[in-house]
Formats: sequence, structure tokens, C-alpha cells
Amino acid sequence: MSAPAQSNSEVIEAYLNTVMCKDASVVDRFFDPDVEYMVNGTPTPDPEGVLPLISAECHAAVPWLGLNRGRRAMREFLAHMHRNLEVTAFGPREVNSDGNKAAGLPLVSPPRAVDRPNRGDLLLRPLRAPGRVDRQISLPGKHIRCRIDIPHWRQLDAGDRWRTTSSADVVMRI
Amino acid sequence: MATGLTLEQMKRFVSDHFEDFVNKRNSGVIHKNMTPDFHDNDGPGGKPTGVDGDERMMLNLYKAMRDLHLTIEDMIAEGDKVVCRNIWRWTDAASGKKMQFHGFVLWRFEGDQIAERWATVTSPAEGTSWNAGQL
Repeated sequence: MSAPAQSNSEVIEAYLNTVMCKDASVVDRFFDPDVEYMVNGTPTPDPEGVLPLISAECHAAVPWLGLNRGRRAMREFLAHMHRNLEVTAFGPREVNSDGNKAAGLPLVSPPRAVDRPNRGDLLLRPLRAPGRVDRQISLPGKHIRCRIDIPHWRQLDAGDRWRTTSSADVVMRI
Repeated sequence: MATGLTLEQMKRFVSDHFEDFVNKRNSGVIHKNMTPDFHDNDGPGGKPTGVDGDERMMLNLYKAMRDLHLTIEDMIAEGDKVVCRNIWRWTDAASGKKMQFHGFVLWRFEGDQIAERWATVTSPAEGTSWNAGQL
């Protein structure tokens, strides 16, 4: 007997847990071959003016931001991010779904000590020098308290294939 | 307290709230749409606030962004919550550049009002012009 189908919320929850474990199988398990995965925006202006523009300064400091198309680009994006950041803790978040879409948002509460995650907070350790952007990116090697918001949007296209877009907003505070 | 609103009613409520609170520059509508103990987990400066704090923030935005306009690009409703993906656009007064930032916001309902909010936004960046009549 086959396992019961997962709800969209459960799929996103499982994806978040898998990707935080740096599980290399996450791309093939969760993404359509034609996945479009956006983190914060695009480093080049969107001709239609819909996608947010990432400044050159910001992209230089956090180069894994941008729009990734296809599984290969997704693998490279995740590998790049994991080489630079280590997730040391992940507080609870909420995943809501409606029709063919789901969104995962962290639930944040007032700040606590730096080594204890807030509800919905990620604790990240930068592994390489990320540079500085608007005083939001810390100096390398510091164990910093970060908040990362990862709303995920899944949409079923006309061909019954899952297309996923994600946006992550990383705010790092020393 | 749970909400008695349907998912579609909650979506309409949120859509109307944004239209009044942002696009029509009616800051006072927040007192009608939010519960008296409304809690914004991600208020100005990333700090929690309530109705008054959010109203002050919006009044400041009205002054700084004369043509501020928000569009809801996507909306999800489940249980007592609504999630929106929004784009905020305005013209920078100093440079004349068209600017924008994108945001996700999660609203929780109690009764027929909004009781709690969480949000995340991208950094403001130069964007493209838009035609409000087409939105």
C-alpha cells in the first residue's frame, strides 16, 4: 500500500528540514526539472519590472542571491550557500497552503541570547568572508545571530509539474 | 478566539486593508481592522509594536513616499491566517528614481479582525516604473 500523499504544507516542511541538513538529495526529491528558485531578486534588471533588483554591492557580498532556473542551477546555488553558511539552529516556523501554493514564514518573538534561537530564527555561522552590506553582514568568522525568512511558493503549472519559487531575506546582526 | 470569516472573506479583508491603509493613505483604518491588542511581531526597525506604532510608521511613509503604491502579487489563506506576497513601489523624492521592495506578510485573524502580524521585506532597490491604472 502506498504512503498517503503529503499536503503542500508537509512538502514544504519536509523540504525545509532536508535542505537545512545539507542533504544533497533535496534537489531531485523536491524540485521539478524546470524549477525557478529566486532568493531575494535578480542581479540584473527584470525586463518586466516584476522581480526585485539585487544591488551589485549586495550581490558581491552575498553571491548566492538571485534567480536559479533548473535543477543544475539549484544544486550549484545550494552548494554555494552551504559552503559559506552553516546552519546551527532553526526555530519553528509556520507553513500555510492554499490550493497549489504554500508559504513558509518564521514566527519571530523578541530577541534572546545570541546562542539561543528565537522562534523562527536561524542561527548561522559564516564560513567564508561574505563582506559587508549596509552593516547587515557581519565580519567573517564571527558567530552571529541571524534571521532568515524563507517564504516558499509552489505553483502547479498547466503541465501538472511543480514549479517552485522561493525568496529568502537574510538579515544578519552581530 | 478563532475567526468566523471564510478563507475568501479573510483574503478580501486583507486586500481591502492594504488598499485603504497604503494606497488610499487612510492610516486610521488600522484601528477598525485590528483587534485592540493587535501585536505586530515585525514592526518598524524589526521590533514588535501595536496599532499605534504601525500607524505612526505608515504616516511617516506617506510623507517620505508621496506616490507609494502596493500591489498584492499572491495570497494564501489557511485556517485563521493569510499570507501575502507584495510589491511596494514609489518614486524617491531626492533622485526621482523609481524604487521598490518586496515583502511577505502573515496575518492572523481573531473574530472579524486581524490580531497578529509577521513580515519580511527585501531591501529597497531601484525598480521600474508602473502604471497604477493597470494594477
